[in-house]
Amino acid sequence: MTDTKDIFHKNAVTFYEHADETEQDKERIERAQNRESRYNDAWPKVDIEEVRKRYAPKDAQGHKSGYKWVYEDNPKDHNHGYQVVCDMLNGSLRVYLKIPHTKKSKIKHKAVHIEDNSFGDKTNTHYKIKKRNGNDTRRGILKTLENRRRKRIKPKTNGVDNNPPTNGSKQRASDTKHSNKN
Amino acid sequence: MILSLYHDLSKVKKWYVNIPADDPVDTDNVTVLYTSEDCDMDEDWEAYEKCFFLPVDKLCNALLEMYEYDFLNAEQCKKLIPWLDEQIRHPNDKRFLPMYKELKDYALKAIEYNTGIGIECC
Repeated sequence: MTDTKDIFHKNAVTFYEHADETEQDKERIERAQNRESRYNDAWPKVDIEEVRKRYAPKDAQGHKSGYKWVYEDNPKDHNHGYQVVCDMLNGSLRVYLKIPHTKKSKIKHKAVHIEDNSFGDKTNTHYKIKKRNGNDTRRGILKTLENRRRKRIKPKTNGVDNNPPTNGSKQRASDTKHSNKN
Repeated sequence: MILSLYHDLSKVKKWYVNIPADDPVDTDNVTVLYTSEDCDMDEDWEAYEKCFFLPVDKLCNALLEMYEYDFLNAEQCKKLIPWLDEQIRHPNDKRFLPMYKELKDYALKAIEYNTGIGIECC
């Protein structure tokens, strides 16, 4: 059954597969990995399915925003409602409450604690997406990519041409730039 | 973005792993500024990334990125000043010019106080 976790994982894999094509992409990945290694232990694990159902019950699909995958019931309403923002590069998520911004304060959203919906700050509102089959973290995303290449299965997503590499299956995602351009 | 200038690092109440992360509401040790760039991070995150996050992260070994927080200490602020001077003379994106000026002002104060600046990217 396709659920939030499947959708996020599928999109994160597709995104990651093409996320290292420029220097800027590589720097972005490096930065996400640095952040993950710096803070990973401080992030509580949560079930993305539960979080999405609570804060964006109508948006099972989500949408891409930069390298984040975002679930929100009313994307056009910038002043009300919640956003579940998942990082496709390091497998973390945060939940934001959208608020009307004023001339004085340009803040458009505030991060909340999933535990009790209270406002939090940068130190306590990151959560790690809990593994189900060991495939939701950055390592899991890379592993899925590797398995996919090993099996030479053409992914069904987005009609993107993902030719398998021709020189070995144990390549990291960052090593496949040239393969994908075949 | 939200800049938090720390006045005295010995009075920091809250640390996020190893960086100061006080909530300005709880302390008078922090001066807060909402920067005034004429650009929306949600709509034009790539401009923020290309013009600001990536160059500053590279220069200062920082971890600034969309929706995230990092702290630049006084040493990192020193590295930032020449880059900000250059951007103020020849901005890589004119929409960021007011923010560059505000950030330089805060960075100079952080160097003077030997503290640093928290930067919340939102």
